[in-house]
Amino acid sequence: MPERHILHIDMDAFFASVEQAANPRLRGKPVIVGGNRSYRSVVATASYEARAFGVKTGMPLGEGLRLCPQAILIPGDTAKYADTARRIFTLLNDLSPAVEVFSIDEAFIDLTHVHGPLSPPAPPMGLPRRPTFGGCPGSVADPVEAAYLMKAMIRHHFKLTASVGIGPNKLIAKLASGLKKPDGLVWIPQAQVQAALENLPVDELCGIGPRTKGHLLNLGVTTCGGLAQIPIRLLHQKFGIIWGDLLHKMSQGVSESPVVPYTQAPEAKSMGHSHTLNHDARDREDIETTIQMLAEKVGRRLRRDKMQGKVVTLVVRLAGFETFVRQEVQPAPIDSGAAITQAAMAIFDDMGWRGRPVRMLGVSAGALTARGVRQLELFEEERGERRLIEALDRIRDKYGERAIAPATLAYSQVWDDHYALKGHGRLTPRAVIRESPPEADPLLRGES
Amino acid sequence: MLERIHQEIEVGAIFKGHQTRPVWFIWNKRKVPIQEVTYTWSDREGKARIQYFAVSDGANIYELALDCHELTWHLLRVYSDG
Repeated sequence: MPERHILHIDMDAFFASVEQAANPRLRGKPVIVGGNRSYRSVVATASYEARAFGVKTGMPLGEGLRLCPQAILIPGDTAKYADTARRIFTLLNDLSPAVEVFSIDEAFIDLTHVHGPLSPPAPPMGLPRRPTFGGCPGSVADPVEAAYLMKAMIRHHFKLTASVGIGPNKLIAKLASGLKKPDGLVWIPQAQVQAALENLPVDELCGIGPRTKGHLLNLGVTTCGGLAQIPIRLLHQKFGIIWGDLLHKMSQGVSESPVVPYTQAPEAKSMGHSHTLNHDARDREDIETTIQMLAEKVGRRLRRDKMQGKVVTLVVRLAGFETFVRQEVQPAPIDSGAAITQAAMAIFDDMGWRGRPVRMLGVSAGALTARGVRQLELFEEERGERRLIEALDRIRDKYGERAIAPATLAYSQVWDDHYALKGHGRLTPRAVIRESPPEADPLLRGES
Repeated sequence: MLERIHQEIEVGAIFKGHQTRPVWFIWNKRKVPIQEVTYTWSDREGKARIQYFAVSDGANIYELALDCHELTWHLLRVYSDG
């Protein structure tokens, strides 16, 4: 059986690099992508020039700007990054049918069954052609050649760099891509896995976080080599059978996790949204408006995927970063923004808030089930509500997410703040002054 | 300096195959020649596909948006030094 060749591709400082590609004046300068300067968001990404000053992803924006006051702050543009990522993943899909999207800027590619050579000799101008697989039956594609080709294509089409790791499995490939950044290429073949892990700090492995690292430190373990020496029975005692087994395998560089193409990715177990407020909210009305906005977005996603949620979860982060997470099982699965708002507000009212300033709110729906065949609402009021929701969805399908909203939201600051940062609704708002009765409107009659 | 504009504008563009290349636009009664399209991306607003262009006139960077459904252009943002 041939050795598996898994590639992990990690875009370098992705959001900041996209901004630098779009705007040549930003190249070579410290760039922080985050919220607006007046917003209390976090650093989404910093360019390598900003990282040199200690700016890191996830740190509060204010702290990032204190470390690097000369940094140029760019408000994040989700649409720009998501579209770039989608096109990059499409390119990678030309190389192998097995591309697993790990995050917006990371993917795993299984080359095991891809045959080479991957592309004809480079065409004039030195530009890479799009590769084809199956070019030479019987010979497995050279993973290093494939990695160089991917990097060249991404640089050519997007002016972006990526770091690539190659290994016999996802664990080692991800480790390898992080060893040399930016623009790196590291291959750890099976024969070198043990040597690569021997002195590696345990938290360099994907999946080992600060808590596990702390527990391992209590056992005197700091490196993967040290972890490999711990008897598996002791790992079972400390971490349980499943996590103990997994840790033991990880210490040997073993991972059986398959590369799951994004077309076969399992359905989401929950759907949620969160929002960091522009200023700490002390007013119940502000909190309710924010929860309503998040609930409307969750409901919309549920309906689009024809799902319903039986559990509603509310996350409340106070000004001092104290965070409360509470959930409540609903009597029946729900998918409307109004029902999710009602459930989330009931949770909020049970939390004993006592007017403390709120920094961030999150709402999600879990225990998802397919809505399937259209459910019959028993009462006229419910049927009317369902017709209204369906009409609103048709309007949003046609004109965009910001085209229509409950009046309490449409004129709220939180709605404007949220969409200003997400980049939606940037063109002229479309509004129609109605003089005809609703039944004359094809949208409300169900015609689009 | 990043300035939000959000203004409908007139744009001269070349449409060839599936490619669109803006070549000039009029803003503040001035015709701005586009020297380079530095980046493109797209998004949807409802049924409308919105094509975005980051363009340079050699001095500033402008972000233009083409609503492919209504065939209208907007100048969204301007990035200039200073």
